[in-house]
Amino acid sequence: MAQLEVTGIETAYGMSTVLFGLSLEVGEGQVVGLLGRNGVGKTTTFRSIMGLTPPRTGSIRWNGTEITGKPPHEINRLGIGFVPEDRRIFPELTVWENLDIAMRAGRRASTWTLDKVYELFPDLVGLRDRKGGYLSGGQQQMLTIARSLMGNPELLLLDEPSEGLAPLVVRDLRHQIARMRDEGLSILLAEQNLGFVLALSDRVYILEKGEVKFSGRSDEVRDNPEIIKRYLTV
Amino acid sequence: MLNNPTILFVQFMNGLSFGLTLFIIAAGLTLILGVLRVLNFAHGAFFMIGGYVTFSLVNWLPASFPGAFWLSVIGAAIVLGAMAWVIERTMLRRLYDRDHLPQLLFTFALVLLAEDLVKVAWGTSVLSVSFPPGFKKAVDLGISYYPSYRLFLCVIGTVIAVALWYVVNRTRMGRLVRAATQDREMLESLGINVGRIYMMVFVAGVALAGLGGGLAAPATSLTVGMDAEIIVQCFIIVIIGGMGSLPGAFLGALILGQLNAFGVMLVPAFELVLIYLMMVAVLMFRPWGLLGHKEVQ
Ligand SMILES: Nc1ncnc2c1ncn2[C@@H]1O[C@H](COP(=O)(O)OP(=O)(O)OP(=O)(O)O)[C@@H](O)[C@H]1O
Ligand SMILES: [Mg+2]
Repeated sequence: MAQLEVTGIETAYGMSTVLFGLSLEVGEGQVVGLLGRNGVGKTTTFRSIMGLTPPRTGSIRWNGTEITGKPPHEINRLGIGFVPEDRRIFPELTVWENLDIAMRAGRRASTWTLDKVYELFPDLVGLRDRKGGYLSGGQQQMLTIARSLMGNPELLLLDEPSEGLAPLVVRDLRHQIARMRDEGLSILLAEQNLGFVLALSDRVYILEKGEVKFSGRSDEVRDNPEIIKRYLTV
Repeated sequence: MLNNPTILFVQFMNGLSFGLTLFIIAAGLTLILGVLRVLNFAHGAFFMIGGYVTFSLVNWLPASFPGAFWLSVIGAAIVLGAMAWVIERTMLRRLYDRDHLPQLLFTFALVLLAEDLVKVAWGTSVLSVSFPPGFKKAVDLGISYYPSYRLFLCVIGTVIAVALWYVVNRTRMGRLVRAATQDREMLESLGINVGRIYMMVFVAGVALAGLGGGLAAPATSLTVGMDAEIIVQCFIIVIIGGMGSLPGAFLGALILGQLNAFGVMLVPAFELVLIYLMMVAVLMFRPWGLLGHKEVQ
């Protein structure tokens, strides 16, 4: 049994259906990539899992328990953290306050504390008392990941973390995500940056128009220009 | 008149105690507006019921009972908080995701219900609550004597302002409340039951209105229409200060208190005009209020 099992979900915004029977799995401690061009439904998949835009049909099981229909805060407390693509820092709260409100003890042996989160993102230490709204894009991205870690999730949904960041910052971020993986965190990683995903993930799913069009090991994609051309190049 | 320092001082003190009492009520209104995004028309009605409940409790407790008045005021705050809890859990929470119009209609319906409730339960004649023991006299402030209960209102209004500032800015609950005003969905995704925060803010805000009603009762008289005047004044305070801003409500209440006191003295019967002019002037230069933020969505 995989840690997260999404089976045949259909999700709509009002009248327009966006996901058409999407299925995917994430195993414990795995990094799984979610690839696809703009608008294929990556963010919607995350919103469905988090309960922010619950699916109309299909099932989402977390450690074997059905979680569809539960409110987002309960889903988070069960161990799923969400890092949205637009970052959503609380702009009027300081960096420390942003971290503090998300703090919750986890059920795993290795837990993220404020010190450990600062150690992974040392840039945040000096910014502790600055308001979130005054951070740069890269700093906001660090803070939004750090904030999710404070809730000690077992699975992290990372939505396009490298988007809009300078190459050096992206490199740091890749190391940081690798460290999180090494700490035993499962990660579902949506990205447009193919190299970034392939460097981190064990498996990938490629979406098109709200459906999974390809799933397989990361090296299968790396060695297959046909797939890359068909589903990923713009 | 204007060159008589004693009169000026007394008017200033009247403005201060009136303003600081209004702050207690407006603080609840602005909190509910800032966090729940609901403009609570019924806030004045909750203030009124707070006064009437205090009246009943004071008369129900034996006169010799120590601290009868203070217990009654706290009792009024608790009764109003409980009312708010029932209203929020059974009705208001269903309206958060709706437009402003159903919310306005709902809180307006509460106003009508509250006024009828007061008529049925307490009648239409004017009632009054006497000053608590120890606060019946005036104290010497050097320049002039001043009623000790009004002085007490200044102190309690300030204490409540400082306490609210502390809770909002220095406690985890306050951090959660501020985060809830900024991004409800994100806060939910971080494992916080935002619905419960909304409920607590509504209960606290309405309890403050009830507390204000109880505290104001000895300094005013209880009538069925007293809610209308208060809600207008609180709206003005919240608009001048900036919607959802507690420091703004504090500043707005102080300004309104002084305008009211000196307006009565300088342009009797037109003091309301003065207050409206002030509001227009503020809105012309800072449409989002003195200490409010421009909404960026
Ligand atoms: N709130 C919304 N209301 C209506 N339609 C929406 C909404 N959000 C997204 N959509 C539509 O749903 C589809 C999938 O969007 P989604 O954001 O899930 O894609 P994505 O893969 O995350 O894209 P991107 O790479 O641009 O982030 C798009 O066609 C988009 O226009
Ligand atoms: Mg997206």
